[in-house]
Amino acid sequence: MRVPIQKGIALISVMMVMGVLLMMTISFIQVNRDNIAQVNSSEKRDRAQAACAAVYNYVLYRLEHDKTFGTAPFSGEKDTIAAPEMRVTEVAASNRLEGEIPALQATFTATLSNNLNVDATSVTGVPAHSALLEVTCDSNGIQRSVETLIRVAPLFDSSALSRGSMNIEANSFRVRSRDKYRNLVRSEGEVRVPSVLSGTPRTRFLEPESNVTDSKGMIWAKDKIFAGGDDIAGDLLDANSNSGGRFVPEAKQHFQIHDLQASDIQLPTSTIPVRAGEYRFTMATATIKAVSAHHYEEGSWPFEHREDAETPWETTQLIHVMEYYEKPGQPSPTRVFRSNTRLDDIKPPDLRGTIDSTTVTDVQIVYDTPGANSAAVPVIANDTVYIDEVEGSNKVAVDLLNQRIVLPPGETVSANGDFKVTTERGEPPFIELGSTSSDRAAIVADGTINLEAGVTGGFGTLVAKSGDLLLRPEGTLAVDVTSNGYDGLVAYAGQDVILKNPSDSGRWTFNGLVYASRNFKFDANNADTRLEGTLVARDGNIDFLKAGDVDFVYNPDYLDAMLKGLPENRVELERVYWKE
Amino acid sequence: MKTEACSWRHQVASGNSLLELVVSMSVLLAILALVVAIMIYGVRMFGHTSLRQGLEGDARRISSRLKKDLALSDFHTVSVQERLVSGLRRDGVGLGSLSDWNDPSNFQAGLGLPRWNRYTVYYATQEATGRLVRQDIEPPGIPLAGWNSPYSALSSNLRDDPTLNTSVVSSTVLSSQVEHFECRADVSENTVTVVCRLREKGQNVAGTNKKGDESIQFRLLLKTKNTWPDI
Repeated sequence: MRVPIQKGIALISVMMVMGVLLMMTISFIQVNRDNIAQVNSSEKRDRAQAACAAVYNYVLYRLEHDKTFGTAPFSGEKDTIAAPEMRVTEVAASNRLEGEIPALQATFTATLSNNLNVDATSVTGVPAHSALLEVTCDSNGIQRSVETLIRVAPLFDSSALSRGSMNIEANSFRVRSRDKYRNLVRSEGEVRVPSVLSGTPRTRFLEPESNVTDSKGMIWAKDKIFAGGDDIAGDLLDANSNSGGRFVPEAKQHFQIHDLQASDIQLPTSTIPVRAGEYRFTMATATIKAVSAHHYEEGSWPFEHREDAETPWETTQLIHVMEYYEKPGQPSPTRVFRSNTRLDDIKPPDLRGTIDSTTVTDVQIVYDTPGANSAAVPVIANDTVYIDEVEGSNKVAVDLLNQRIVLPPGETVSANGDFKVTTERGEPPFIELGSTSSDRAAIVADGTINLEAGVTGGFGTLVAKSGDLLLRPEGTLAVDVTSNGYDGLVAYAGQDVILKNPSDSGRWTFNGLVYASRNFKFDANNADTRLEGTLVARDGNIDFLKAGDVDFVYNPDYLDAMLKGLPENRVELERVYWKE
Repeated sequence: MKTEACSWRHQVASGNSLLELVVSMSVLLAILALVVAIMIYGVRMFGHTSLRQGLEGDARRISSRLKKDLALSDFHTVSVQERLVSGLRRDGVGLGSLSDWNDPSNFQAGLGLPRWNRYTVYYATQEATGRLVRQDIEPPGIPLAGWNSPYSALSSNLRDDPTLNTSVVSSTVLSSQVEHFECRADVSENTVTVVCRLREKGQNVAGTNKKGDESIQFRLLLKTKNTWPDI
């Protein structure tokens, strides 16, 4: 009896062990198979996801280089622009793209609804100035779908942008925006603003025309941010809390500043060439010959005796003139202009009685500059002279009587070189641009525009293509951007833009766009300052000096009104949403 | 025949000697002991592997959900609440989200921007062994344009009992083995970094008398894809 029992135990034991081992092996295999399947599936999902991203980038590239891409049904061609790793076919008579990305073992279908050039929401619900892209990618049976909305981005997204440092030397600094979604100041270099960590914060993010803090406000820098001289890196929470917005020092993100060209700026199409050079308002010694009518009365009215006389006289004194120097640095002016009716700066001799009128008969300017060819230059002009290049054009006027340069509205005044208006002695001139938002004037110079000696008023555009732009603009008051125009000023320079507030009192307001390819410098002359629009120092620094309370107000409407679209149907896009 | 039968009986009788029985039983016992040891080793190995794979599964689930939720969110709505328990972080992170991505009314007319109408909150409870909770929160008074700023009540809505949190519309426990959950929103890079360590004690480790103590740590660097305007 024992023998069969022993045999049975051994067999059962072996079977049990085998069974357990088999179960464990099966479980291990199952678990590992699940794991491998998960990893494989995850890989395929990642590949499909990467393919979606690749297709998105491809379509973005196409749209940024041609904003009309996909607006008309495709003709069924294979795309030759795509990288060799990507094969794209435009499906005929549709707005669909199909293709494959062999490296990702993925095929894709993309549907584009391009509404970028349209001012209204499309019938399919794509918002104005936007494009909807739906992408489905398949990698070995695993599908991923992405839907994304992209729209035209502003060329400049901040009230101030600089590749260099930014220094706001002011009593207070307020960053505001009329854009509902962005209120930014960006700089790649150091940013120095008034204090925010101690006492009453003097740098704040606020809603426009309000003291309500704006939580979307941000000062962003790739370098350090100093507030009141203190590096705020260690006190960011306090700085943010005190300012109502956010400081982002030492940011690692990339941002680009659009390389604006002079040709990107909206200008009146009609161009009037003027003589390039320097227009110098100064005082010169002159020998003046004149005749004065005067009378003498005795007693009280009705006078017992009245004597009328005309007396010629001659005097040598300083008088206001405008000198024109065709070439910079030349020792004597090319021409000199003097109003023949201007008398306010001439002192007649003491004549008997009261002078009724004076007529200047001759003015000879006496130059004490060695080598000055005085004989060639005196011009006794009418009250107004014209500085047009083309004789007889008579559009760009200099009012010698009142020392004003009046630019024709709706026209572009163009100088083939520098255009400078300077003051050596005497009163500064006034340079009058357009008087209304729809009557703006423009000066475009191939070199430098220097209007620093005069005061510039009105609305318009100043473009110094390859040189500096120096001016003292009057502070304008109202802010108005309409479909007919805008009330601001565009200041563009291929080099530096240097502004100076002509007044040391009140509030200086600048509306518009300032674009300096290099540096921007502003002397606030101790006044409060408000800059509405955008300020750009593309490859240089921004310096606000001697300012009271400084307000930056981002206003994208100015950009739209002042700039043309990019050439060749190009456009910059940004993503509004990404759905997957 | 009789002689053969007697011979057979003799052989059987000789196999049943005590010595043979002891030897055979010893061999059998040794085999059984070996088999049992192998079984125990295998079971412990299996348990250990299951423990590790359980943690890996939790990690995969957490990272997959976090990745997706963060990717679909807007950095302007992200906030982090730091919390410390015995030197370990049990943070909470809140991010704007949408109740339904396919509902057109959840997008601003004319612009197409998502109207963030809820917040998704991830947080680790502060118990000895924490749980990682994911909740969708719909605070009352949604602005017309949606929530464009971080969740203001984040710090007060991270209770150890997730059912006591307010305005919760859905709640999931993604792991019950959280030791460390650290979040950092870095505005300078527009990223959210999450460091998560899961830890679980199990049976004895195969071949030792030590209790199984498995942990897995992962670090995610996440970027939102719906940050508009871009920072």
